[in-house]
Amino acid sequence: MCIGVPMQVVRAEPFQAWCKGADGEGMVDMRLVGSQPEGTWVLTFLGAAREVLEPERAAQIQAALAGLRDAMAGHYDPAAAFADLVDREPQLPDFLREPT
Amino acid sequence: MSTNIGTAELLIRCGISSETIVSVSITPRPLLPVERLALGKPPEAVPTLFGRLFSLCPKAHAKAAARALEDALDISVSPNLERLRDLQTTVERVRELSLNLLLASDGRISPWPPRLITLCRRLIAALGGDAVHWPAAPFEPNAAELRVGATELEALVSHLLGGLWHTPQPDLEAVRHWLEHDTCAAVAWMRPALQPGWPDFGRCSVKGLPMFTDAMLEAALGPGVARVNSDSPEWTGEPRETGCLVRQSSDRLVREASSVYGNGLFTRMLARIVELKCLARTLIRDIEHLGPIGSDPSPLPRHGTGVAQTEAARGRLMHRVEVAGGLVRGYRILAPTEWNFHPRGLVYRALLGTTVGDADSAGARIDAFLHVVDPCVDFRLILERAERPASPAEG
Repeated sequence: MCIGVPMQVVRAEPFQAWCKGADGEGMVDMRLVGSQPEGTWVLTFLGAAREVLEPERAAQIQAALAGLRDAMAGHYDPAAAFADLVDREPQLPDFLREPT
Repeated sequence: MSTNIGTAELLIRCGISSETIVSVSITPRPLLPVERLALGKPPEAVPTLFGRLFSLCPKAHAKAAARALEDALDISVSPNLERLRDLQTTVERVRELSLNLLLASDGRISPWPPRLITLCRRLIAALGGDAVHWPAAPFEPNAAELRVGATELEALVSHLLGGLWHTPQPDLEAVRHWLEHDTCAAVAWMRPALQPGWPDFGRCSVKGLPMFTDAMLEAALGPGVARVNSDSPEWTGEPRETGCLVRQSSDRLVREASSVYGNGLFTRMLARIVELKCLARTLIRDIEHLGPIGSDPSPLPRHGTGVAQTEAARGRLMHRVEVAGGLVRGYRILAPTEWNFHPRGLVYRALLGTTVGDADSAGARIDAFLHVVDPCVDFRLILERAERPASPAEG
């Protein structure tokens, strides 16, 4: 699926950069975005940086991916995830509610 | 299930005997529980939520989500708002086609990709940004920014496509001349397809995914008997293909290439070039003629089921939503990869029985074919010596 992963530049090199993200660290191909200074957030996919991210955007994507990881691990909390998108009181779907 | 989201790869295993692929086994990638994130959310949160999660093509997913929700809740939006959404996804497709081409064609750092990425971001913002997916207040596109952006886009795509950008209706002979003499990025990307054994590599018979009506979408995604499998979808009993080649199949140049090379590597690569040129021209033309948007203050019903489809860079994207009590209670997404990498679908048919030469040659051609079918799929290719040729019915 079209899911990119935000990573932060730790050490920049001419065509690539050592980056860290929620799933660990690794070398990232920087040809599409150019050399970026330490601390820059980039959206990575299949080992290549696709876009430079503002920190706020990186945090939003990371929160979405954290929700997905929780769902994969079986402990997603829909009442807590994406709270900034919901003006009203969030509600659990029926199948996640405790029987009363 | 692995929790490493960035490596949800599918496995393709090819058995080779006497320089021919005699067996193909495709293990679908593990499906991620993405739909679960929408459950319990109010409708207005969902387009943005999926836009954050699917960060490589956020506009396609946000548009499909918004349309499915509007279908479910019987909300009608203005044609001009629909046009803004369509133009945003067009910008996104131009960006993805261009970046995948640049990434595969040039080993050097170039100023063009960062310029393209920045320009596309500016164009999407000028087209209304996230507001188009659930407008809470009236807004207008930024006409001045769009005019400047259109000029820049023309320069960028012209740089990518070289002489082909300026040729109004090229034929195959003109394309061959372009491939031999131009030095643009698109030529650097496509020229390998001229090598012996490459142009018709992967030629096979597979039908395109038709444009679905809402009833067909509901049948495919809903709970009824025609519901398609998420990891191996079929329509009318057979696997289908979706993506650039299907979308451009009526283009005169693509038809001419198909008559020579079938749906092999050359035609597939050409279809991506044709689509990039077509989308960029459409974008440059249409952003000059945008009308006011206004708001759509429709009251929200609290129940309903809705479906939507949209063309993303990789192919057709389908969403289905169920809303009850003012909250999302069910969601389903069917992505293009599942159609194209069906265990007995396009890739299987393209590879089985194909002559590939030695292992190095085989790997390069298969890799090129898979990347042109879907540059955004994470796959692992295993080539192994087969003991004996298999019959065509074997996998």
